[in-house]
Amino acid sequence: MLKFLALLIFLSICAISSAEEKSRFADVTPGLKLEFPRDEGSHPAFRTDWWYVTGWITDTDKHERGFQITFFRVRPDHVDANNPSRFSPQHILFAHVALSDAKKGKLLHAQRTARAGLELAEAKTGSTQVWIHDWSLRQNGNRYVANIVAPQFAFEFQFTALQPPMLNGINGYSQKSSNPLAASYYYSIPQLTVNGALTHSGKTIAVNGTAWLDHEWSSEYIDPRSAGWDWTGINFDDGGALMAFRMREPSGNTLWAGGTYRDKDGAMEVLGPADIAFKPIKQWRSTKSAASYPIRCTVHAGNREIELAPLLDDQELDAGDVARAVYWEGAVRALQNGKQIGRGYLELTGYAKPIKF
Amino acid sequence: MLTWRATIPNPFRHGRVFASIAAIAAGVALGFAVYLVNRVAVDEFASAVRQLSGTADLVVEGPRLGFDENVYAAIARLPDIASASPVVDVQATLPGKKESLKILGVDLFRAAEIHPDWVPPSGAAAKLFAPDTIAISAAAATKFSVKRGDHLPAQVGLAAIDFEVIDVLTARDNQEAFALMDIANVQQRFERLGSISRIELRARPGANVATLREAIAMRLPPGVSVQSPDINAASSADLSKAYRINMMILALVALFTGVFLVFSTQALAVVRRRPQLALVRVLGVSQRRMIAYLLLEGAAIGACGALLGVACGYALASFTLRSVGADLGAGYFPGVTPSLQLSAGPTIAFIFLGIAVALIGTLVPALEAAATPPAPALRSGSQEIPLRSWAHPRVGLIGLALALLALYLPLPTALPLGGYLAIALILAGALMLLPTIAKIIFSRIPPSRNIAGDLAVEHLRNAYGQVAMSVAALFVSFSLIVAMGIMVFSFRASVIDWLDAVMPADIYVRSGQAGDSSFFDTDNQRVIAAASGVAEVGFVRFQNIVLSPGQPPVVLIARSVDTLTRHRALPLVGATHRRLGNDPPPIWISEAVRDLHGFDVGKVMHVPIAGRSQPFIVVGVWRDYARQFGALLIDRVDYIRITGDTKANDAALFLKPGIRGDDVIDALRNAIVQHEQLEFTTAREVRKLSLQIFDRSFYVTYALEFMTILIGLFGVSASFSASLLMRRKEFGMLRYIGLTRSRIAQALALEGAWIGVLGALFGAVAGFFLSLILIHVITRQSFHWSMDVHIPWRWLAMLAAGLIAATALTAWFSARQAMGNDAIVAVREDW
Repeated sequence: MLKFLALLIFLSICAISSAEEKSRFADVTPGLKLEFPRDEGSHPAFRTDWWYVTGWITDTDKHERGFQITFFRVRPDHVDANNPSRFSPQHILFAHVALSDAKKGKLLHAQRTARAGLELAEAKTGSTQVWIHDWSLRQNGNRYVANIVAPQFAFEFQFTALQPPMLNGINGYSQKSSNPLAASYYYSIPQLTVNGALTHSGKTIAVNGTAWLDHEWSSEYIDPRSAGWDWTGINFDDGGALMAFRMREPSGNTLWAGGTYRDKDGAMEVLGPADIAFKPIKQWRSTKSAASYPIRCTVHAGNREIELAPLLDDQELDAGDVARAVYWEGAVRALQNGKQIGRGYLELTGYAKPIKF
Repeated sequence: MLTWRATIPNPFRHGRVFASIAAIAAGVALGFAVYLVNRVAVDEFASAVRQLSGTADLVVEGPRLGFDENVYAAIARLPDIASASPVVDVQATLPGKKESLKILGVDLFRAAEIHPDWVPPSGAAAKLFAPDTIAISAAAATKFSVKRGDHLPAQVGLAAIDFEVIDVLTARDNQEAFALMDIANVQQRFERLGSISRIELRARPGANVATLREAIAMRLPPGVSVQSPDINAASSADLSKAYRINMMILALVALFTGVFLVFSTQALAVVRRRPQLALVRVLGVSQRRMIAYLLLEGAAIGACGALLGVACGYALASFTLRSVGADLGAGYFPGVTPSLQLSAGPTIAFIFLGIAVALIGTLVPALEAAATPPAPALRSGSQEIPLRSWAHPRVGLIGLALALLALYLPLPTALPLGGYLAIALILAGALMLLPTIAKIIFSRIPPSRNIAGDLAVEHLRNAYGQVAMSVAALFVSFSLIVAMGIMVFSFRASVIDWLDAVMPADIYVRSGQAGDSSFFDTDNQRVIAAASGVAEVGFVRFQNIVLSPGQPPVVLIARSVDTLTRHRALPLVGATHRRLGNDPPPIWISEAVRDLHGFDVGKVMHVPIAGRSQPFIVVGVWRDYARQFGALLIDRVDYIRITGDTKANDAALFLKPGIRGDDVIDALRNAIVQHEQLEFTTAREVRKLSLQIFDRSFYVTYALEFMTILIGLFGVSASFSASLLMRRKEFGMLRYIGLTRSRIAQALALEGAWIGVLGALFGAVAGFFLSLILIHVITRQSFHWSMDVHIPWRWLAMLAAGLIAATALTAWFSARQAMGNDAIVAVREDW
């Protein structure tokens, strides 16, 4: 699912968007067959690509934390495509990382922006190879290595894919509104095992856990009628996985929704707008932004009903220096009848302030 | 104190004391003004450098036209680097504007980490991605009167390109005039693809910056160095250090000639009040007390002068800043708009300096007064001549010998302190020798038949010590004026010779006014060379390169050496080297490069060009008055072979016989489409402009000369009055035996004239030697310019004649005044 922060970066870089500008980019249409690992790499013909890893990690003391790592590529407007300078900003890369620690009671996060080029920041084609200076996400077969050194923490994680990619929507064509052009190519790799080291408060500790990788690419994504969205991705303890989202109108009504369920044996269930519902259980009000988020909620996906409960309440992000982005994004437990059946991430956007196009 | 006040006439009642006050005030004012102006200039310059380097810990810098951008890619990857911001720095030529605009090509994502103020107020860094857009600092917006949405044309080659001002950076710290542009657009637009001018770096917190610096330095190509921004600020201030210190010393010279005036005036005051001083002694004031009182008097004079001087100095400084600029007209700080600030420390220091000068001047007369036995002094008329003991010819000779040594003193500084020390020693030594010289000269004056003449000569012979005292101030000021005069005249004459030599062509064409973004491309060059009436064209390309890290950059000039040699346009000094078969390509270095960087004729030197260390053989040293920090000249053929850069900044046109310059200019304007920005000048115009600039930079020197000669004349007048007072008995006697007042005045005028002759002669001789030190030591070491000695004979003769006339007049005038009293009274005083 599209990262909210990434969307804001996108909006700050690209004015939305004259027909002439749009015509520079490839359209997302149904019927394209995704190929791996080719489609795990960047798609420069499209306006944007993003890679999004979320997960739960546990240290040797059984202490649980949530993390997310995002890399985002966008082609900005107004750039002279024929400028031969190696500094020419044909692609802008953006990265955002966060660590949720229940002991701390809050979220730590950091971000980077750079123009692609000179091998200092790149998003390569062919497989997942994306980096901004010494922040990187690199693929090697079914393994992915993330290296992040943020001011307050550092990740050195290795992810291993035990399941094949899960194609969302119709064979990876994921519609985001009633307008079929507002869509993306979208696959997820759930049930990644995590091994690695977390550096935090001056200590480096060994961690392991489970993660989820999303990769989407698109040229036009957001229906201007939407005010925000809810998204979740859950790794079930039995090996199954669920992705569900809904786009909201300013009134709060659902504009569009969708999802994918895959059981431990690989049987897929594609969920349409009628199959998905998000029902709030508990609102949490941020003292900083005064926004209220449904951080505890029930997700109806087909005939399943799953309750989401946050690792900690305050997982609100305020990336103040980037376009005043305030949203909630955090680690959640999946419960059924009060019993934990899985863990994942929940993203709640547009609650502090509706997105403006 | 009471006894003193009751008995001793207040010196301030006498008008002459105001001359002393004025002299000290003038010296302090000049020194203080120079100090204030320098201070302002350096502060402004340093703050400009600081503002433009933001919060960077280290800055990697190379030649003006940049270095390989891959250096950035390599440095940015180093683990201890937190941020690395590449900058392409262009001094954009603005069509029709005298001043260029600094355009910084940056990656705002990186630059904002070092310059938070640079993020445009509208936030979106990406707006600058659009070609031909700039964000401009508030200072630049004011300077070039543009606002958001306006278009500002800048010159690339000969073409003018319109840049849209999409934002004005109004943050508090953007007080420098500059514009921001996306680095990719600058590289493309200004033809700087592949190269950058600078990398600004922030170290990771906790990283050792010194170690990091070494790690970076290892990865840099020749001619590119890494420095901390403070060092850059310091070295930019160093650019003008020699000039500023020389100005300061000149101002202090004016102050110290004031010492002599105080000395003469106070000596006079002591002589005039001798009976009263003796009375005070008799009334029980101790010798020590007496000295203290007299010194206090001197200090009071000094304090008055110093306070007045500080006030005048401040006024002078603010006037200078408003009218001439912070560089006193010398052109070191272009574009700096300074504001004056007063701080307590230096102000107090200058006040104390003024008081100290007055105390030094008072000391000898005070000691003399205290040493005079009171009883004979009380007897009226017994004013026999004191002040003979101050001169020691042997000390004088030692002083002169020491002066010679001082010239060869190895001092650990680039400043010519040895030279200044030598000048001080020569002046002091000469002063010690003055009485002896006076004696020798006056004993050789032939007897005249005129009674007035005899009288004058007789007195001069007998009282040569006192005469020497009268002449001291005159001598010092005159010798300094002669020295400065010869130096400036030699400099000016050498500059004229140099201009004539280096500008042999008929017409010079520049591709644009200020800045480095204008040039002639090969097409332009072909058109210029083919213009009808043009016999020969020499194209010139300029580069700035860093020869030694931490030193100001030197100018690399690439032009046709063949043309230069044929027109004898290369003013070589000293030995040359004949190139051998396997020698590397030839290079000619300016004197400053030889002095500052230690290269010499016949040696191979390595010059960082195009990121590589290129060997050249130094075949000659040339005189270059235009570039104080050094210039290198290589053949343009070699330059193009090494760099592949075929652009040219200037062209020198030699016309066919009988062709009019204006016709060629018209033809070129027709042949070159983008001719609006072309600047055509003739050698004569350049010469005129250069000499104007030259004269302007010596305005202050002329003012100082005028000051010193006035101080000298005041000194003569004071000593003369003192001597006349002492000789009242003699004049009384002369009147008594029937000489008319005018006859006596005539004799004294003649005496004055002889004193003038002594001062002028001796002063001229000393001044000549001082000028040699100024020319061969001080100017050489400060500015690395050699010059040929030219003596302004006519000016010297006129000055000497004027001086002699002035002293004669002064003497005559003092005599008329002194003899206002009745002759009988004067004679009666004796018994």
